[in-house]
Amino acid sequence: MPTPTPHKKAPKKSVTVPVPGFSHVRSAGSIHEYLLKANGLRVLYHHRPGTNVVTTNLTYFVGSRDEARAETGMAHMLEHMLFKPTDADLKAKATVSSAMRFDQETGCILNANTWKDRTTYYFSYPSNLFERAIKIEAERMNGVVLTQASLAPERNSVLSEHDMYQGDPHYALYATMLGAAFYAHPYGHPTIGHRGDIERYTATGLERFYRLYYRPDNAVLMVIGDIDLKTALTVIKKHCAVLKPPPAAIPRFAITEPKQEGVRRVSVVRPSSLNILSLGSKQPGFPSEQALVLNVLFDVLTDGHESVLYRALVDSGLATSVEGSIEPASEENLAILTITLAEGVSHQTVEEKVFDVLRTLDQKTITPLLKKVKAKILTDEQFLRDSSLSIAAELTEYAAAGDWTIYTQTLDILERITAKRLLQALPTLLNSNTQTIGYFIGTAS
Amino acid sequence: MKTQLSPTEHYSLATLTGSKLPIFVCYLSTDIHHERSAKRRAAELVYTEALLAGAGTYDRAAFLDALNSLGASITAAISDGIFTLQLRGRAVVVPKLLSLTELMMRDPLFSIKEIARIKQNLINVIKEQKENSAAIAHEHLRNSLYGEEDRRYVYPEDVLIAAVTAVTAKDLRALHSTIQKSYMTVSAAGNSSTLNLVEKTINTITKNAKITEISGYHQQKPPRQHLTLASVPSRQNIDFSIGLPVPITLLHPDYIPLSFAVRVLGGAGFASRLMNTVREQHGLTYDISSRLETFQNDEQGYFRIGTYFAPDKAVEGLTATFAELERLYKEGIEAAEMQRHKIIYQTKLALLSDGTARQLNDLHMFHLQKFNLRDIAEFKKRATAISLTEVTDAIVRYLNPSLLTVSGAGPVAGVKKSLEGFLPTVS
Repeated sequence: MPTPTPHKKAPKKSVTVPVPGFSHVRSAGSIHEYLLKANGLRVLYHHRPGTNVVTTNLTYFVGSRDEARAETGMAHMLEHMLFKPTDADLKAKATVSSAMRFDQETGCILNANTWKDRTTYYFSYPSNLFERAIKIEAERMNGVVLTQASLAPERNSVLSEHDMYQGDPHYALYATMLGAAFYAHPYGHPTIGHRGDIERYTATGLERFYRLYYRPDNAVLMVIGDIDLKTALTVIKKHCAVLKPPPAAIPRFAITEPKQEGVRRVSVVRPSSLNILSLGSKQPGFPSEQALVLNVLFDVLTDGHESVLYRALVDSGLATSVEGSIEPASEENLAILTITLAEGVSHQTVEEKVFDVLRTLDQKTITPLLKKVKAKILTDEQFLRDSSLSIAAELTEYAAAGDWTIYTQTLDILERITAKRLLQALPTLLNSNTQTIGYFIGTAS
Repeated sequence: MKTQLSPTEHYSLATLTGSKLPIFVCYLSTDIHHERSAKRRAAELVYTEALLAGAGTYDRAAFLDALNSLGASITAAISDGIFTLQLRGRAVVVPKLLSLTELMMRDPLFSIKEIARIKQNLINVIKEQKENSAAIAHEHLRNSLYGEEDRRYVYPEDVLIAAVTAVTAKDLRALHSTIQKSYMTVSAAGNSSTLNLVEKTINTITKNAKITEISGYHQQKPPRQHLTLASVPSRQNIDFSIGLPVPITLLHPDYIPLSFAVRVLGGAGFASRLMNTVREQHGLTYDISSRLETFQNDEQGYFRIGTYFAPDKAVEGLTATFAELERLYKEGIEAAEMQRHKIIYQTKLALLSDGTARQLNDLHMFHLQKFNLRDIAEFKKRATAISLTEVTDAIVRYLNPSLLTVSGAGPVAGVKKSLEGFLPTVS
């Protein structure tokens, strides 16, 4: 079995920091971490010369995990509101925020997303626009003006997004399963939040959330692309060093989900032609060794036409698709196998079949598949490292889960995973004290 | 990255060469659209799966084992009458990947057992599509704009299932023969040694092929104001596809001005009018966009807006959308807006250099339309040099809001009457 935390420690080297005011924290691979001493903002820098493109990605360590009851989805709502005007915009008599104008005037790629442990904002643009991007991020870290007037249309847009997800039978089942699996831990509510909560947000409530979590010492700024380190740090210092972290500590609550005793079962019944079975089991957070092992096991089970469950369920005509999903979250979360049933096949039949297959899975079956899964992951990683945008997206999950350096070690960890190790992880999928099983039942009307 | 494009008698090859590029991507495409029928479409669907289900001495299991051992992938698809094979892998596995591709294209098995399995899976997947309201809205729009013999026509689920049931190995062999005899457009990105191998493989695949010129039927209907609604009760939003046929090809002088106008309307995200008003100002939807679709160098395409609204906001959403369309039609675009969108377009081009796959997609899209490198450069240059008059004229010629078809799919039962009452209000 591999070492539980298999990260090689590089010998400590003294690194010259080209801009005063920063200290070098650590390096791994071609990525370097710096700390802006004035306020604790962390910077991850990865040079990709020759493209004339830079991606900047600012990730705040706040997500749906930090939301209390009645304010579910607030981190996501705030993500939307960070594209509204700031104090500086309003002083300049601009009705559209500088972030939106950046997109509207230059055509840069702009977006944001919210997850359980993080909220991420990113821009991708020609290198000469670097300072403009950094200035925008600095201004909206604490300068967005939140009002009921600006909240109203954005809330409706979020409700539309909510309904888009909720209208999808797969999503509706997923959200219901989360709620059953975690009734104390905030991982039990979906990131977008509950509709009723979204309808009741106030600008004051959002303001409180914003002030608590949007601060330089609760963020990491990634700079990936065609810009030299000295220029990057100089510009970051110019615009970000003035940001002062609030004196109050960032609120964090240790929440332990009560022990589960027995299988939890849920169903969603809706007029639909679909029938779906989802099998969830609680699994350790990302990026622990166990989480990476389970990711590989799920690939062996569901990825591609050779995978174990595809052959057992799709090739046999019992299902139209099988999927495995393990979301990158820092604490114990739900890993889910989702099977869309073929017409006329019962949930019970497929549930029994899946457990039969899992119970009889042996090393002889796993070994050749594992070799191929590893080769595929290696290929996928090469492709993900082909653009600054995808590098930033992948690195974000590691940073948000607590240790970005593991991003540079995943292939080594992968190499050490054996068929025996996968078999050791298999019982966690069969343990009734971690299971949540969901049926989406389509009815005629 | 060095770009080259060289047509030959049997194929045209475009390459993006990076000296130490660790990845390899390759597209092989050919336009096989001739006469559209449910039988043909069913054969296409089965064929693309069957191609990967055994070749030469490899049965399906052996073929998948050989391919997956490389960590590489081959995907095959036929969409709107265009066959495309995509190869993807690390540079080190390219020789074996190309060798498997060659075997697959020269000697596919099409075994009876595998065809039966594929047909059953396909029927299951087609049935599942009954829930995809966005796809249904889009398909119904297409069928309002095109006749059954056009490549854009989408067959109803029951017709397609019956046709899939009837597909035989003989149908697949006939289709394969058509593909083998068609002119291949190949675009690949990799290092120089992998790209040399691509050329050798394509030569081998096509060396004995007698290229046959295929000319397909095209059946575009005249634009008309029309509403079509489909009930998908499991959804919470109603998906809409709103569009009209545009009687010009990709090479027509109006194409670039029109595509510019459509970008201003809804093709540039938050920089576009529809996102600005319908989403940002009114909060009526999370997403709305417009685009020109399926235009070819020798074939006309259509204009489409895609969006969704909650049922109780559907009429309000359509009203706001049509208000933007009418403003565009009556007032055109402003000079400052035009200048801004030219900069946006230039940025989009600059951002292509951030990733190999993105550059290759862009190259292949033009290559497939028989553009050479000079044509591509001129097309992009012209897109930044057009005049306001050209754009305004194109809008007036092709984007009359009173000729739009509105296709909705979702929980429509409760709002059918109000939606039916909406279109006649559009002047």
